[in-house]
Amino acid sequence: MHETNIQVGPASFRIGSVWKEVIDQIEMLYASYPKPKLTDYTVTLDAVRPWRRFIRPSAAINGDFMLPDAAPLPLDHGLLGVEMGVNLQMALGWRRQLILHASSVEKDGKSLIMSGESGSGKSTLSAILGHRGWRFMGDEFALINHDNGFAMPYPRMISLKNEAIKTMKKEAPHAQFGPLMKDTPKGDIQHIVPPADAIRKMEQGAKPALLLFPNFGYDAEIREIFPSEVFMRLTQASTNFVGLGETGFNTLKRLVLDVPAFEIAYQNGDEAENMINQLWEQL
Amino acid sequence: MADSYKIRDVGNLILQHLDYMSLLYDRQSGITHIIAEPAPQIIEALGQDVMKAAQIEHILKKQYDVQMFEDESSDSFEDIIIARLDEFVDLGLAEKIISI
Repeated sequence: MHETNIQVGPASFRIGSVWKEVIDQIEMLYASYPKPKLTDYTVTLDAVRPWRRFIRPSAAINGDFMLPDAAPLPLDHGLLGVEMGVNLQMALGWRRQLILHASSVEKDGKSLIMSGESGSGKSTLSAILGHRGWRFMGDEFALINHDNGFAMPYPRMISLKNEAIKTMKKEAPHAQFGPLMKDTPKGDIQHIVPPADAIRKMEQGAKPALLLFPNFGYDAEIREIFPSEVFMRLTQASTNFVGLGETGFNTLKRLVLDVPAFEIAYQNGDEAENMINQLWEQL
Repeated sequence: MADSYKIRDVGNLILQHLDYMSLLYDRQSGITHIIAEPAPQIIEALGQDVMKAAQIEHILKKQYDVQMFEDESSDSFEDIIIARLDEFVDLGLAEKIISI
């Protein structure tokens, strides 16, 4: 088994794989990240059968937390397998903060949290803003502290899907990209290493100042959302709200009471950026 | 005779008003209920006491400017209170004390 350790924000992972190329790719993409000695979780890619290590290699995703019926992936999609395995550990195991399935960016010491379904554009928006004067904090999970309500960064390598790949190659042509994985269960996927300041400041949280629910592909519109609807949406966007019990309730309650929330519909990144700047200036 | 109602364990409930909806977190079940008016007000009126719907109606009408939009099919305010109380019973939040 080949292995490496990675640190993403407050969480650390031991990644193991029977295929060296997967670990090489991880080490390349996470080269500028701190390397922890101790880790919170283990994720491994194993051959589904001994001979499937060599013949039509097929990777089963294993780890401390596992989905028993998770479909194996071809070796070409090994990075996606690691990403899925790491996400699963966080979603099922993390208790130190309230997890929101959301992207986040920071400016002036305050954070903007964007939550939405897959395809809403939250990842791409955070990646774009991270190259336009904001500090990228994460494209997948926003971690909300129980004690002070701050959003903590989780700046893993950004997972770009389909059209977003082209968008980011134009936006950040000099950024480091991982291998293009074609025709995965989620479409075409390519990873991009976050900007250097995102990694350097990955221990610095920021007080949430604005919550957004982006909707890509619709006519431009901004709609304010009441706290009760925000609460309902964020309970659905949190993987550990129920498990955290009263602590999670109090953390989420404070977030929805303290932070204004809006839904924005937009057709492209420039349009969304204008709306975000407009809302940000009104805070 | 009308039935009485009692909140099962009021000390284990956290009521948080938000806007037109309120949150009701039940420590015992770990479930958050999102409730609309007049459900939160009924819980506050009941407190730790045992009450009939008519008593709750009396308290709420004293505290709030209760307005009913009446037509032939509409329920009375007391009927609405009883419906909410029965929902609390179904959710395990309240108990009904049946009068014989």
